[in-house]
Amino acid sequence: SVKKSHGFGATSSQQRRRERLLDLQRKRRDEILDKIRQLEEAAYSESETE
Amino acid sequence: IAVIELPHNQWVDVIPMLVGNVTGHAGGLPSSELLKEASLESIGYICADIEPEVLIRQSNPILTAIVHGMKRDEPSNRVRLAATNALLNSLEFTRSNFDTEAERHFIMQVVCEATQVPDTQVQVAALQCLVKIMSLYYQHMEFYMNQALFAITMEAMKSEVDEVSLQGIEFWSTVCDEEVDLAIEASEAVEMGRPPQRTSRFYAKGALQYLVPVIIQTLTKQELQDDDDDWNPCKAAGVCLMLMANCCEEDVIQHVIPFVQTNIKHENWRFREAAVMAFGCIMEGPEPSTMKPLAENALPTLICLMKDENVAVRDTTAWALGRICEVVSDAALNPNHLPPLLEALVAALSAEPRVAANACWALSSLAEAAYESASEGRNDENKEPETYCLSNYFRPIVDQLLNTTDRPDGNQANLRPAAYEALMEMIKNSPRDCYETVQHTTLIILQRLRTILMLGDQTSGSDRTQYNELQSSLCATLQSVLRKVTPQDAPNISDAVMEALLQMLSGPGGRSGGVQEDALMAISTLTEVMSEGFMKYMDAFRPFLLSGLQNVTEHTVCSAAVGVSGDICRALGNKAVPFCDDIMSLLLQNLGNGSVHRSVKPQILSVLGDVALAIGTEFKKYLEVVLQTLLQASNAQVDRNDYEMIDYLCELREGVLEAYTGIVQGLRGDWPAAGFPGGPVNQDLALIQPHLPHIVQFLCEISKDPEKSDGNIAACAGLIGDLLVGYGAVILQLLDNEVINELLTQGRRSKTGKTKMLSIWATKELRKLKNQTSAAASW
Repeated sequence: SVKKSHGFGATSSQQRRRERLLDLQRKRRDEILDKIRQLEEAAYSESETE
Repeated sequence: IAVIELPHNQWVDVIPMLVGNVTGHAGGLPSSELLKEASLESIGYICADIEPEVLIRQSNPILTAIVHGMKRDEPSNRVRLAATNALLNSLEFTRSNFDTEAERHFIMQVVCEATQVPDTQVQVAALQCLVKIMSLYYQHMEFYMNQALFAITMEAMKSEVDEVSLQGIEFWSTVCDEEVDLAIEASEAVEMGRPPQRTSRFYAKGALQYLVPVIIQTLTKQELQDDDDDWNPCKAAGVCLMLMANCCEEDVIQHVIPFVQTNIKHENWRFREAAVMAFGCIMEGPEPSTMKPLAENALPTLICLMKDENVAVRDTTAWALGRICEVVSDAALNPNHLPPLLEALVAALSAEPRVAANACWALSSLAEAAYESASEGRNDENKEPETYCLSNYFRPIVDQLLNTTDRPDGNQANLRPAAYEALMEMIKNSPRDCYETVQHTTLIILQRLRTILMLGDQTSGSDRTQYNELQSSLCATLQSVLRKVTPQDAPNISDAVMEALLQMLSGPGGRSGGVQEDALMAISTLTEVMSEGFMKYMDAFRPFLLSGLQNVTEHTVCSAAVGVSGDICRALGNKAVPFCDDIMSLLLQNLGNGSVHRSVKPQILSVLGDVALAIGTEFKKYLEVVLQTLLQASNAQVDRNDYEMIDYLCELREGVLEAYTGIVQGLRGDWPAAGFPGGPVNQDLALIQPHLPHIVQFLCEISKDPEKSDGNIAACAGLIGDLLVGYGAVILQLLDNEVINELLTQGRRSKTGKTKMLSIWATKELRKLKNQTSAAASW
């Protein structure tokens, strides 16, 4: 019914938790790669300056 | 039997035989009523279960039999009903008949006539046909809408017979659904600069002035006892009004608001409830800026109605407040309304379970909106805001939610999980000045976990289900508090948390997939909070991790274990080496196992990259087998007519790209020693060199795929950049081509920040290398 449409049930809660965690894991993976790439770029710029 | 045999070209005369039974004579005599009915039922069952393409070539005789059974001069209602039901099941493969005007006219005429027969069952079945026809053949309906469908369905909606009224409402819900889809298609077409393939005729908008009064009238026909599982015209009318609001947006307001204003204080509870319901239904669809003043005006009355003498009114009011908090949160956060609103919602947590569950939802939406509003315009989005408008009320709300989770009637109306969910949202969306309450909640949750774990062996049957659900909720709440705990405080509670989680995994609850999954997800969060400090738990945790990875029957558990494996690698870095043999062996085993749910496989591929990134050159021992696996995965193909499978292919490819990225980055080792673009290739990276042509070919294949996702482009751009940095001149020739350049151009134009940034970076790396190479050549 309409009032059920907010999907505040146990199953949908767990589904939301799953999706949230997968998003966070992806974000952390990206952060690590970003950091490596930025460090590489900084190192390259330094070597260029030298 | 026919459903099994027909696809193999066997029993080819079954359809002609059944058709003959309906239209002709059997054994020299006209077919009996029973034979006609049974034959039409058989046709209906076959049509319902068979793959539509098997019967496409026989659609004409099938339709002939059906129409014969449905026509006006058929004396038997039983035959007419069987024929109408058969039509309902055959509509999907009669597209060619609907494309031919004369045939379409004939089918529509027969169906419309069937809606007018006195027999209710035939009427309902014919109306069901109209609903399905509207959904399948919207583009052909203009002529019939004006001539008949509008009048037939309006009359049906007003019927005193629930089944008939339900189909009338369902027809207009379907029209709204279709027209919402068409509006999306139209805006996508504008974005891509081409005309849409199908266009909306805006039937819902045109009929609003006639439909809304009937819908509202139906909203006042509530059942005395609200049973969640019962479907009735009143509930269908609510759904239909929500769809109308989504489809017709602002236009719906003028038709609904006068009823709301006149009836929200009506002496009859049915009208009060219907008014609140109608208001809640139109909250989403029109622009929030249009709804905001209306919601602000209504809030004082709605807050008063939370004390209404009738429970249905209180229930619907709590739901409507939830809708305002979710959709027009600015109105709810208005400083004039917020204090009385919070007071009403917190009081409602002690009301009947159905009212309290809606209050939980409203509080949860409010917390999210308040946090978002406090975070707006901040420079560092990752940092928590110092305070927000709920700070002063935070502790009492959390305390009351904790009390609600403990209510003895919490198993009704989904109240207990709703209260835990609201608690999690409150914690997740809390600013710094609420940290003390977060710490306090952590201790309470831990205490509850310990208590419930001691009860473990004493539960059985339905108690066991509730017990498992409670463990899941506690784990999930623990996860949300852990995410808020500062790195300084984390070690103070981590031993107790891990001890409880391990006890949970080893206890009877640990046999339930849901509990296992939630415990593993909480451990994921703990690894992040503890970083290298998680090492001390690895010996105790290892057996549970490996058992989770082997749980192929419950794919959500397996998926959570795969996720934790990646988290452990990120947390421990190369200290994860001692655990990698076991983890890698199970990950690779799962990739090759057909019983492992396909949704887990892209995630496993990404985690292979996490392992490589974490253990660097130690990954060499897995390299050959992993590269072979990636080669296989990158060759995967799917049915291009199946959208779900296309999405899956995109996920799978993204997993492969992430694995390659992790391997390339991991094998490069420490970045300062990795040389410089154009310089010699690191000796570990050289191990992948034989695979480079294939990797580039894979990148080109994705690039050329018109159905690649934005995430695919981002992952390709990242890998291209990494390959250029890692291999320099060695790979320049392979990557400097039209296909790759086109992909990077597409990525630079992406609306997603990450894709754009990675594509710009990769393009820069490509240009840098080209300039260096041409400068070197000039010597």
